[in-house]
Formats: sequence, C-alpha cells, structure tokens
Amino acid sequence: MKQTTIYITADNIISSLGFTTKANWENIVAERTGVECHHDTSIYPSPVWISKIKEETLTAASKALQNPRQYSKLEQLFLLSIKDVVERSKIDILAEDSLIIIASTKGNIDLLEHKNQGKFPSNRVQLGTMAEQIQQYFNNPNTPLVVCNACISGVLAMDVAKRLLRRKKYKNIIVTGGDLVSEFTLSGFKSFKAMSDAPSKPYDKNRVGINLGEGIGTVLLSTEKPVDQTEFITLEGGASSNDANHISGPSRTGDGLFIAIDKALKDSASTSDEIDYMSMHGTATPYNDEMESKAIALANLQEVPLNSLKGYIGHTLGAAGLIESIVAIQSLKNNLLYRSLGFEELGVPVPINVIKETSSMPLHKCLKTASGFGGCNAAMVFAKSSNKTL
Amino acid sequence: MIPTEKIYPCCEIKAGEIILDGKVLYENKELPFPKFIKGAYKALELNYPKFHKMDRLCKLAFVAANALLKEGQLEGYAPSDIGIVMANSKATLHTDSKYADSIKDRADYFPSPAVFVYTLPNIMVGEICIKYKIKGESVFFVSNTFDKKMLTEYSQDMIETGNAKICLMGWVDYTDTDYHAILYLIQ
Repeated sequence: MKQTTIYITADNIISSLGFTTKANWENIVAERTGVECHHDTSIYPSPVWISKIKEETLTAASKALQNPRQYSKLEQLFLLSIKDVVERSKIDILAEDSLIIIASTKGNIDLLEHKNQGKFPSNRVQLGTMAEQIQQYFNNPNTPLVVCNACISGVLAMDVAKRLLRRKKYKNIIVTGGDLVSEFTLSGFKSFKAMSDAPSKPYDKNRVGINLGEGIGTVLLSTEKPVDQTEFITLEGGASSNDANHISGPSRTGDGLFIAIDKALKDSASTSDEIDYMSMHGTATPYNDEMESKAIALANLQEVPLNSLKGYIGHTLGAAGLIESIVAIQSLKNNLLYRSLGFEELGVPVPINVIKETSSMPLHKCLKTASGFGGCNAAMVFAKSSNKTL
Repeated sequence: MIPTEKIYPCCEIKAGEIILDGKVLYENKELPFPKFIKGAYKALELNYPKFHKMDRLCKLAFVAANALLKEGQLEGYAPSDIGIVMANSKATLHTDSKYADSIKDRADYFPSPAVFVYTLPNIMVGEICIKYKIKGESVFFVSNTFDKKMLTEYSQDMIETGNAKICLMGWVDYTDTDYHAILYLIQ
C-alpha cells in the first residue's frame, strides 16, 4: 500500500553560522566553521571549543518578536525559527489540523544553573511548560508534543510526526529541535572526557571527541502538496532502535544502528543501492564513529558518500537531527555534497566513503542517522522528486 | 482499530504500593522512596547489581517494568519487535538539581559522569532495554500531564503498522515530594 506522501515544505536553521537555512548553507559550502575557542568563565572555568550563537545577534533578531523579554534565550530561538518557517510556508498555524512538535534534550536547563535562578518562574525548566509558551505565542490550538530522547530527539521527533501524518491526524506539523550550550551540558560532557580541545574531526584517525554547539532546526511537514514548487522533498520513512548494550557507550558491533537503518529503508520502500548520500551522526568520539562504520557495513552502504556536519557547528544535541536533515535536504536540492570538515585520514576500522572535497553529484535519495545516550538510534530517508516522477 | 478502553496488563507504583493488575504486589507506606524501592527490589528478588547505580527515576521505572514483566511476557518476541513508548512531566529534574549543585561552586567543582548520564529521561528506557534485550522502536515524550489516550494510540499504531508486535507503554515521574509509575503492556 502506498503511504501518505509527506512533503517538507519549509525549513529554518539557527546556529553560529546564521539565522536562516540559506545563511547556514552558504557558510557550509564555503567550508566555514562556527566552532571557536571561548575563554569565558561564565560559560566554563577553562577555555572550550564550542559553536555559540552571539548574544548581540540574538538580541537584534529578537526585536522581531512580541515581548521578547518574556522568553528565555532558548524560547526566543525557538520562536524565531518557527516564525521564519510559518512566514515562508504561509501555513495556517491556527488550524485544528496543525501541530507543533518540539525536540530537546535539556530545554531551559540554563535556568536551573545557580547564576540564572529567579530570572523566570521555576516551572519553565519543565519541557511541557516551555512548549506551552511556544504554542501560545503562535496561538496553535493543539497541545504540543515534546520528544526528549537524547541525541536522536530531532530525527525521532520527525518520525513521530510521520506517524501522526500517515494516521491523518494532522495535515501540517511543525517539528522544531533546539538546545543551548550551557555550563550544565559542557561540564557533563567534560566529565565524560568526551570533548575535543580543537575543532572536532569526525571519522579521522586523530579524532578525540566532540565540540558542543547550540542551535535550532525547524521543518514544516505537510501532507498537502505545495502548489508553488516544481521539485519536492519528501520524508520517505524512518525508524528507531535500541542497542540494549550500555547506557553511555555505543554498541561495539553497530547492530543497533543497523536495525534502525534497515527498518528505515523498509519503511521508505527503499533499497540500500538507491541511497546516494548519507548525513551521519559523526560526533568524532572514538567509539561512536567506530560503531557507525560497522553499522554502515552491515547495511551494505560502505560505498555511499557520507559526511558529518559536526565540524561546522558542533553537536547541537536535540537540534542536531533536524539541522543536519535540513542541510542534507539542501544537498539534495543543490546536487552538492559538502566536505566532511576535520576529516583527513580514515580512522575507523571498517572502510567508509567520507567526503574529502565539496563536490557536485546528481542526488535523489539520502539517509540521515543519529545515535545517543541510552543506546538509542534513529534513521530517516529523504527523497527529491519532480512533478513528473510523483 | 482496537478501542483504547481495552484493559491491558498494568503495573502501578505510587504512595508506597506496587499494584499489579489491580492487586497489591508489595506495600510499605512508611518508608521514604529510596528505602521503599530497595525493599521492593528485594521482595521481587530482582538480583541485578546495576540497579544500585541507577538514579531514583530509573529505579522506579525498572521496578515497575520488572513487576509487569516478571512472568516472562516478552519471551518469544524478537528483540526488534518489542517497542517502548514512555513519558513523564519532570524529565530528570531530581537528578538535574543534584547535578547542578555539583557545579554551582567553582572552588568545589565536582561534575560526575555517573550523575550526568542520568540527566536524560530516555536512560530509563535504555536500562529496561538492556535488562530485557529490547532493540525495537522507542520514544520518550515529556508533557505536563499523563495523556494515556495519546500514548496508547501511539503504541497501537506501532503495532498496527508492523513496527512492533508488543509495546511497553507508560508514565514514570519522580520529584522530591512525589512519585508515580504506571506501565502497560500493549498487545
């Protein structure tokens, strides 16, 4: 049976590289990174390599919001990103058949830090209350869903939307994902000795760990075919899985991620040889990248060109799956594969095809993957088609 | 579609009681949560050393799952055919506060990876997956109230679309002043 077609009709990225998808894409194509060394003791006691949105840029952008000071930093970023998508798509966000789904690992966690206590009501640290602020800003009639599932939250939130759209519960779902770089998460990843003291190097033999980043990614998923477009991006299918192995370390075999990839291919009625490109999780920690190479081999995708966006904007946690999917969609639209920044020499046990130079190539279908603490994995397939092929 | 009113196997933990399918399985209303949950762990003869490393939220979820699944209800299912759909309202607020306290003073700075890892609510899903070798689809939602209808429909949809054959569904929430776990087995 043919599944309901799900179109991705508008998107937005906010990161250190810019406040729109276009600005981010242009910087990525130019191979500019937003990861920098920050010597700011209000962020962390020692220097850290992170991708951070400049306060003055956010303050200027937030003037477009109604009463921006009523909202936390993360809430302002969510509002700006959703606002951009609403305006671009002209979606009726007041309609009963529209919904907002939010992906975040820690939400307003910075409000729990002692230096920020008392700035907002204490319940704003609850994701459900944060989500209501966002829903009420846009006067959307439905209680928003929040997906809080570690580093796969962004991809998984789109998979949740897929299920609801196929079920015909809604016509339009805005899926947004976001997290901040906070002292809470920085010190946590530092305590795991998972951070890199230089720009990260996914899949490289000298990789030592991640850079944290902050940002928002927002997409509009719709069952209504956009009337003003001749080329369409569709969400073909997706799936999740669990390693059932360890809560803070990836599987040693890659079988968990393989299950998610295999199910996502089946869900999208795709075969591995139809995949032209893969946007991987690629955190640049030794174990994660090693695990991914094994999963890629199990899925028979070793020849397919792949990259990790982490060298450009770091690991944006709950936003990562969304931002990286939106950039992958830009690759599909532009037939352009960007260089996997930081990669020089293969450093994973199974040979994989990491993109060394930004290059053009006809692209039709791509795979996005994510993995996270708790042993969770997710995979999703996106496709490009024209009026002729649909 | 199966009506959502269908009665599913259920385990609920609240106010010092573990109730399995309407019958009291374990009760100790006098004890504070840490002692209550340890007493339940012993009474259920769980014998799982990793339990003692878990935070309170995970312990609550883990005991509820084990009470619900103690008759081997998941045996015979392929690992990738078992789904989990869970939610709560406070995410990991109790452990978040504990972790935030450990980094509030620069002169006494002691962030611990063993605490930090429990600042993600889907870790309880991971702990249950490890114990029962569950590799199927899972999702963790956060909402201010327990939307049983939405979570049940979501679980039923996973089964009807062939993404799972059986699904553990429920709500596990912990704060310093209250706790509540309610898990269902959706088939």
